Amino acid sequence: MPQLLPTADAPLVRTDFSDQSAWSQLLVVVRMPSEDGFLANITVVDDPAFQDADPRALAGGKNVLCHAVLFVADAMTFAHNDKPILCIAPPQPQHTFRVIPSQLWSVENNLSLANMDWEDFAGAVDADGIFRGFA
Amino acid sequence: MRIKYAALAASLAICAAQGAQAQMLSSGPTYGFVYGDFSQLSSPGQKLNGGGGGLGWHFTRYLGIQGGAAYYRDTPLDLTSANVEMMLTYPANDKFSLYAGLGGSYVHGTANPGFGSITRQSTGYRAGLGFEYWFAKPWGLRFGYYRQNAGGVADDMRVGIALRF
Repeated sequence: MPQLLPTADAPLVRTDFSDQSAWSQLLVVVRMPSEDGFLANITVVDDPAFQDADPRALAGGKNVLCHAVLFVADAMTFAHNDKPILCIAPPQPQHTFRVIPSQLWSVENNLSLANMDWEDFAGAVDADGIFRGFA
Repeated sequence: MRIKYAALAASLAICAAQGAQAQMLSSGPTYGFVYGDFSQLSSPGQKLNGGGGGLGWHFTRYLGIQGGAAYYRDTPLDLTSANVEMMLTYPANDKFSLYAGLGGSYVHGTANPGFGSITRQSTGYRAGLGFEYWFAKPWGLRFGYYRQNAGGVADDMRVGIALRF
């Protein structure tokens, strides 16, 4: 499996290529600003070389460790009705949760700026392990 | 001698015709216009094609105002934008003029991707450069390139026609 190249922003890596339409629509939602105008600062990695890549292996790459979070759009993302994107903490890849596309900006902005901690989001997920925003 | 008079008369006739042509194309110090255009809105990783129109008024030879709206669609996104801006115009000649625009923009976007509908609206600045080429008194071509930051930074390239009155 190839290594991720250095990116200025948190990577969003596509590892499932079964539904191009869903991927395109997911990106539209991810790139929409929040109600307060916040935008997700991400670098999209859409390369078939990463098909079925192990998210934990990706998170362990030397070019990912500088980021507070790695986002992965995997098979479960596209199989689920809410299209939840996998969030991994690169220093501790065993720490994961999922986030719906429209809330990805919140995870990225707050973790990248260290405005909030990983536990703040991981502790606010619904019963199915998906973060849908703070109540 | 007759030849000299004939040449002089012809010269005067040509000058008069040119004057009439210049008069026809000259817009005068103030005029209004309406326009319709094709627009491409580009932001990182995304390009939207759409169209719109608007109207404007030149208060003086150099200063004016214009406003308009445009609609874009690229499944699952519907985007409507409206803008108002002041125009600083430099008329290079009767047909061609350059302008700079500075104003504000309002953007309303709705995404219906099938996993939840999202609606957002934003306002922000808008600035750009463009030119107008009037190929006849009422009709002209317009081109403009703008940058705006309403819900994210985007470049707006517009090509269209205008009708002035």
